[in-house]
Parts: sequence; C-alpha cells; structure tokens
Amino acid sequence: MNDTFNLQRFGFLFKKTIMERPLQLLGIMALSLIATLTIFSISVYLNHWKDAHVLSFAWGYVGGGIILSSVIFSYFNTNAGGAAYLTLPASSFEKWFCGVLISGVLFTVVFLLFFRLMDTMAIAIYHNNLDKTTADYKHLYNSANIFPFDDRQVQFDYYVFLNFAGASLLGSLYFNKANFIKTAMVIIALFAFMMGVNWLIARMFFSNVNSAFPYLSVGLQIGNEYRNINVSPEAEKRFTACLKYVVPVILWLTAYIRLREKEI
Amino acid sequence: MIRFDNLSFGYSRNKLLYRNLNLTIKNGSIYGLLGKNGAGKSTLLKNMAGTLFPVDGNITINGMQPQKRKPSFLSGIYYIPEDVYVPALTVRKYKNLFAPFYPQFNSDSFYQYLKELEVNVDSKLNRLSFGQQKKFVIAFALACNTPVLLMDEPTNGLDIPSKSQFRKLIASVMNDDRIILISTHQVRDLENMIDNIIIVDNGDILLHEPVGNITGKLCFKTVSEIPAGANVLYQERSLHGSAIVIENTKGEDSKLNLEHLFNGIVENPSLSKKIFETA
Repeated sequence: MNDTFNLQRFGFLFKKTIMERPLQLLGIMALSLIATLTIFSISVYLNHWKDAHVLSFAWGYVGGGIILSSVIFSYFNTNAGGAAYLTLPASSFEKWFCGVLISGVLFTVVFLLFFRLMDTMAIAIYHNNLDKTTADYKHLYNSANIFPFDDRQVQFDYYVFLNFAGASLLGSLYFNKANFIKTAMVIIALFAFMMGVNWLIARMFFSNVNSAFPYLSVGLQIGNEYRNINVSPEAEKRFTACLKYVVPVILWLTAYIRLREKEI
Repeated sequence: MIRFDNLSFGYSRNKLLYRNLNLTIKNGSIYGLLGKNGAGKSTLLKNMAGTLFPVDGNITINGMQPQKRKPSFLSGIYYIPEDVYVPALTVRKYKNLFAPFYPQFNSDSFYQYLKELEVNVDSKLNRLSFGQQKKFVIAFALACNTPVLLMDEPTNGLDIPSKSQFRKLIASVMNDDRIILISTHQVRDLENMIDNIIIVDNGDILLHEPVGNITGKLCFKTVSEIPAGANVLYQERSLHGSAIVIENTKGEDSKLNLEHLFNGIVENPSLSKKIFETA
C-alpha cells in the first residue's frame, strides 16, 4: 500500500470531503458567487463598469476564498470530529492536497468560470440595449469590455488570495474554535507589529518621519514639503516577489506540516 | 500486538502523565482499561490511535507507529472516542462514503449489527439521539473488521438493553487475531466480557493481569467476619455482611467482582502490587 498518495484512496477522500458537508462547502462557494453578482449588478446599475469588475472580483474571489479555506479543515471544532478526521485512513498529504484542491484550485476555477459568464452576459445585454443612433454610441460601447483575467488588478487579487487564503487554511489548523476570527486577529497583530517596528527603525534614521511602509518606503515631512524615500526598484522587486511566491508557498506548505503534526 | 516501550506522555513536558511506561497487549484478547475520571485512560487510547504523540519512548501496533498516521496503519485500527462524530448523512450514505477506506468492511454485518442494536437506518445520523449515534458508530466500527479496535467509554449513553447487546456483539466479533481495548470508568458494563484487565491511576499501571490470574490470586466473597490474618485488599459493608477482596492463599474459587477489584487496587496499590508479584 502506498502510504503517501494513492489515486483511488484520494478519490474516496475527495468524494467524502465534498459529500460529507455539501451545504457548508458548496454553500460558501454559492454565497461567494451571489455576493459577486450582487456587487457587480449594483456597480453596473450605477454605470461603473471598472468598479463592477474590480470590486466584485476582489470581494467575491478573495473574500469567498478566505472563508472557504477557513472551513475546509473545520473538523477540529470538536474532539470527536478531529479524531475521526485524523484517524481516517488517508495520508496527511492526501488530506492536505484535498483541502488545497477544493479551496485553492476548484474554487478558483468555479469562480473564474462564473465571473466570465456573468461578465459576458452583462456586457452583451448592455451592448444590445445601446441606441446605435446616438452620437456617443461608440464611447458608451467601448466603456464596457470583458474583464481580462491577466489584468494587473486581477493579478494583485490572485496574490492577495494566495496569501490570505493560505493564512486562513493554516489558522484553521492552529485554532480549533473560532479559527476565522483568531486568524484575522493574528494577521492584524502581525501587521501592527511590523508597522510599529518599521516606524521605530525609520525614526532611528530620520527625525521627521511622517509615514513608513514596511520594506518599501518612508515618508518625510520637512516643513510644508512631503517627500517619499523608496527602496531601489531591485529591492522592491525582491520584496514583491517574496509576497507573490515565497510567503504563499510557506503558508500553504506549513499547513501540510501542521496537519501532519496535528494532535487532538 | 501493541507495545509501549518506555513511553512518556504529558500535555506539558514539565508535567508528565505517563513516565517510562512499558506495556504489552497481545492479540486475541478483550482488554478492559479501567480507571477513575482523569486517570489517563483516554490519553493512552489517543496515543494508540495516533491523535496524541508521546513525548518520549515508542508505541508500536502490529509493528507500526501510530503517530505517523500512515493509511496502512489507520485502515487496521478503529478508534471510537467518548463523544462520537456523525455528519448530516443517512446511514447508507455514510457507509458509501466511509466504508471504502476499510478494505475488510462487511456491509451485511454492518446492517446486521445496526438491526441488533436497534438503530433506525432511515433517518439522518445527526438527528439520532446520542445513544443511537453511539450505537451506529459501534456497528460501523465492528463492521470495519480492523485488527485493533479501541473504544473509549463505549457504553456511555447506552440504555440497559443496548449495553447487554453491546457485550454480545463484542463477544461475537472476537477472534485470535484481534485486539479489542475498551476503556471505561463504569466497570460493571464490562463484567463477563473482558479477559484481561488494565487499571490505571495517575499515570501508573496499577494492574495488568488476565482475569484467570486475578481470581487465582484474589478471592471475592461476602463474609460475616473477616478471616483473621487475611490480606484484605478491599472491604465494603453490605446487608448480608462484608463484601471483601482478600489474597487467595487457599486456592478458593470465586467470581470476579470488577467494581470491588477496581476499588481495592486503586485504594490499596501497594498491597495489590505485593500480592500480584509474590503470589
């Protein structure tokens, strides 16, 4: 018996994970899509296409993904649930991979498909309803376009999703009860700590610090003048690469290690 | 076979519950793990199931280490915690989703056990009473036919007929390759069922003996007057005299009273140790 990964066993686990709590998992996915549609519809109604795309994508994808990641390992709410999950004959890798597949991959695919469908339909309806005889027809027509998934803003959302959904997944394995709130509090505390330490370090070098953003910039107020000192483009590139790739990998992999070492 | 080699466990490294514990549990026996509330019975079971890890030392179950939680290990062991977990599924759906993980699962036996335990198979599991849920999990665990079955307070929440049915079922599924370990503080529930007794208290194994040895070394009887010079492990006043547990120096036959044995061992560990070491 392969004790790390067996496709048939993984299939049983995947089916069991979805079918055991269909309301919870599919319900959260459905709610995310409904929230996306609602934000999108309101923004479109107000004729703000850019906002419709950016806001609905960010809230639906990032918000839904974070919530889904926080419940994927919610077996540990009770000792009995946790024990049943840990003693289920599947490897820790399979259990982790199943969680990642549902909260990371499956949710992303479902969301993107839904978003593209919603966007295409809304734009088609909008274009069809435009009066072709008006002078600003072309301008109005071009104001609504399909939101490209390689847009800079979407890419930013992907990275935010990877970081925060990863943190949420990891938090659910550290905190057995109210894991969502506790994880959020830890993240806020961590940010506050980083900002505070960064501020103190900046104050060691400059006497007139107005603002300081960790790793990236320091804002100085000299009389009425305000100036930003930024790190070099190379250093900024390294920092963003770290946020895009290194931190998410650390978070998602630590979740695996934590699951393997989990005791209840 | 389950082996504990110098096992130490504690919820904090500074305060160990078990220290250098050595214990061997052999196949083909039903073990009763007895102890007061908080004595460490559940902790021991959790270490065996791999949901808690030893601080030091080793546990091996049929040659495998529980803390690695390998599927090949987990498919050969079933652990029923004191509070059971059941999802919002029907019996049939639960079976379809969970049974494939256990290669030896027997569907016919499963429905037979459910029938014998009088579990309603048509309703959703989360709508059953606690006792019904517990009986469902017991039936499922027995049908999995795992070589090792660990049960933590399985009779908690069961009504009197179900306790009796539980005993019959356990006896019926026992074979020479299996180990069934039942932890309880309700010692009467295990009477006439177990063939080995382990008593734990404050992280110590106070007794680990086959039932046959116990009745060979101890005598359980009710007397009007305690025999002179007897090593009395336990005595309790009753309507008909005094129920006593004494050292069996004359080779008398008597019926094991688990409750009196338990009280005697826990209240008088030094004398019991002396009796079981020397007799």
